[in-house]
Amino acid sequence: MRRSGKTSMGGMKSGFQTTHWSEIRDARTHDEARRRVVIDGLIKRYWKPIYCYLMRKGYGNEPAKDLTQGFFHKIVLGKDIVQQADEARGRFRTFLLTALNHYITSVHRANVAGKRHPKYGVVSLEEFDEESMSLAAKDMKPEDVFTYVWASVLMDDVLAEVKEGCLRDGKRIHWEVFRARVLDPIVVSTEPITVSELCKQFGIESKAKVSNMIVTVKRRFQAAMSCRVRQHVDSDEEVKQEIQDLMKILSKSYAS
Amino acid sequence: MRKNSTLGLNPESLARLLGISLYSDSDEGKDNSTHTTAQLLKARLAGTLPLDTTVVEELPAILGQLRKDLMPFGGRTLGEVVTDPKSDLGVIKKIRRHAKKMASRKRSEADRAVAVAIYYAAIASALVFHDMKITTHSYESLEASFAKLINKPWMSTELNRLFVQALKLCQKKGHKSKS
Repeated sequence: MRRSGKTSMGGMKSGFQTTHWSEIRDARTHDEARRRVVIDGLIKRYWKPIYCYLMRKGYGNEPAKDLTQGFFHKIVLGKDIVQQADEARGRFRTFLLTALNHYITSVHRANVAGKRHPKYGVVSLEEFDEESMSLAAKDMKPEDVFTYVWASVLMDDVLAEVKEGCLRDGKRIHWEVFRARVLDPIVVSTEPITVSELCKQFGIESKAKVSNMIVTVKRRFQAAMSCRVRQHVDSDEEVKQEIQDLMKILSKSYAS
Repeated sequence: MRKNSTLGLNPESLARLLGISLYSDSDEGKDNSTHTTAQLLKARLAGTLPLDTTVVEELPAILGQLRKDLMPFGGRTLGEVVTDPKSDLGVIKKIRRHAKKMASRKRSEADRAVAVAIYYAAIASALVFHDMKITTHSYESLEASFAKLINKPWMSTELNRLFVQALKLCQKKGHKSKS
């Protein structure tokens, strides 16, 4: 079983910006160009969790790539997922994983692994280095790896959106303060910089202002996260639950 | 972790990042490490029981009925287990032991604070729901510890409630033992 390997799947950038049930249903269009745009969008957004899941299932780099592409072309691009999406309710994350498992089973049944020749040719998938995944993630079950990578891509997109928004709106210091106080302690395991230190470091006149700046960015973060998660669930009420479920799975993975 | 990507972060840190979207604004402006601890506690309580280390490894020796007793708890969150009156006392004891080990490890202040909170949460759970003292600490000592934990700015609502109940019990029991 190959554990490592680089691939260049996924195009320029991955993200989860707009994929949801309605977009999948859009894929039924007879407008080939539009259909292609939709499918490309899906591939860009979802290839990473799928590819990592397959790797964790024990597929080598090439078979995992092959299956990932096969899944998108035969299932997503085909009619199957559109039909299933019509009937499905619930989390898109779960739906996609179930569809993938059905696909893997069908591939094994048909014994055609390694013989997929997508109608549209091989899609370009962004370079991905599995080595970059933490040791902790490497010990996870395949389903948890899927969720871990899913959450990681979601988080990267949210952070990029918030940062870009802050820079665009002239709130660079807001972003820096948020990063120093909230993000870095989690990401690089440092003690949070005190509010007083932040005042000195960024020349901010009062502690209250620092707190307000953090709240401002946090609200942007919450809004961006809610907006993206909302695209994968059926209702506004489920957004919080989906985030909690992701946390639960990730915390479980860490504990075990 | 790659630059500009969270891929490579340990899963718990990723869970804590996700947790930012669930916390209220009131967390800000508090003491330096408060919200870090609050995030960590929330992530820990959201985690399912670490069965591999606290339960499953001991099953071969125990076998039988206990295995059946423990199975329903698999996959439940730590927060659910310590605050559920129906939780098995054996599981609660294992959580206490596990938390004690966690607290003794040299990690950050936030990690230690969370481990201590979970340690006392297990003791409180046994006291409140099973009327059992699963520690050698006296009621007076427990009362003082619960009092310290109650209303910590980073404490979760459900644990806070549990500690308040346990504190009241300790006060009663402490008075009884004196009289």
